Amino acid sequence: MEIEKRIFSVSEITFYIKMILEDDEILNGFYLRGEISSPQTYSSGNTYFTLKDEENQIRCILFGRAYENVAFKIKHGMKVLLKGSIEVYGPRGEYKVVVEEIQPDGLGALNLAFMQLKEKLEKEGLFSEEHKKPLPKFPKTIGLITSLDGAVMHDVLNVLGRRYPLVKVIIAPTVVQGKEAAASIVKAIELMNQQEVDVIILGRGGGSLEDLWGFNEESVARAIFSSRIPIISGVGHETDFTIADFVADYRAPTPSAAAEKAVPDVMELRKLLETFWERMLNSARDMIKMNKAFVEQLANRAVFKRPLEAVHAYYQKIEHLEYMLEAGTSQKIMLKRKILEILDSKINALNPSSILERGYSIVIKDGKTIKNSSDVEIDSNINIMLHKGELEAKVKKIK
Amino acid sequence: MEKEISFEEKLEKLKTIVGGLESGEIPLKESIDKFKEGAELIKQCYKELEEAELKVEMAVKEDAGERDEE
Repeated sequence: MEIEKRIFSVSEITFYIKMILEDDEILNGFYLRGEISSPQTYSSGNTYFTLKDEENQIRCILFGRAYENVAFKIKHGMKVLLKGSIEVYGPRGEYKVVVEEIQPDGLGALNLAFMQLKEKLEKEGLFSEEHKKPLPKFPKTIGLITSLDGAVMHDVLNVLGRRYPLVKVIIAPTVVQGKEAAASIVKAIELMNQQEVDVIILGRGGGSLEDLWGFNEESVARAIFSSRIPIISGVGHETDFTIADFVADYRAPTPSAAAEKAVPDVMELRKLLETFWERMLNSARDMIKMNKAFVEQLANRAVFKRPLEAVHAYYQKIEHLEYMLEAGTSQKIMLKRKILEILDSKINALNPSSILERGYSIVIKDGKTIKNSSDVEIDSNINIMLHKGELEAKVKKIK
Repeated sequence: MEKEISFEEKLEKLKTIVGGLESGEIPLKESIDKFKEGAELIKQCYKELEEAELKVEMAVKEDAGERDEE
């Protein structure tokens, strides 16, 4: 058993290994289960990670193009199921798994995709309260997006007819199950937005996660978000939550509940009208009562009861005024008298005869009072006025 | 003219009338008119509720146009 010991180059042996591994039937397209460890996405779009179990690990690469079709985000610690093939990379002396398909293991692919889409849209703010449009209280037209077959349409129309038959319903027949569902729902929402619709009911009966999947698609979520008309979702049963429910302006647990939320109740409206009527009657009664009381109050006023009383009061007032006037007048007269007396005494003081009384004399020449000696000449005849009597005199000397 | 206002607008109008009457600030003569108007509106609302019948129609699809765009 002579085996020729040949010496290979690194490339030669690498090429051999590559050939053996990559041509192997099992290693070319196998399913692999394991836990992702430290995934890393490079700017090229390729993602590298290690897949491991309790004892071993293997390097994996997910090319960017393949990742585009993956409905969830690859994270550390995630248990996955993947389909891939072994590839040998000589320059690094490495072999790794080239991933063709990958999905979460155990949890169910839809579940995880749901969770991750929910997380993504929530981060974007599609669920936030501030974007919720208020529902009209008295819608005139309701858009119903649902399948024509199935109980939903019937249930919704029933509720609307019972609660608020004033409304008009426009139905957009829609595929709500299977692959076409998402596109069909999106189209129906867009169609409704082209019409005069006040509120939209998006309805579907209960079903499995797969059945309801259309309501979990991103395109549907975005269509609901951009609808200018408020949308009430009523998908499935109480416990079914879809992405559509989170984005909708109001989430009703069932289609029937959605219909109830969409319109007011005729019974309540009747009650409202009744209270309006009651209130009108009451205020009318009050008004009559008030006006009556007002008239009575007027009638009771003194003017109407003893009309002369007011006149009497006026008389009294006038009398009082008269008195005041009189009093005022007599006071004025007294005052004037006093002034006259004072004036009198002052006039007295100025009277020349009262000066003469005190021994002074007045010299008069030709009827004029002489105040200066130069006013007379020697031998002028002058008169001297005394207190009592008068003297005729001749000027002898002038000093 | 009265028939054209919606049920909601009628309720809104009624609310204003009732509020006005209750305020007691409207002159007597005017409030009698308001009362009449309110009573008429209530009558109309009741009648609308009695006679209402759910109208259902299918959405008009603009198929051709939409498909061309897509």
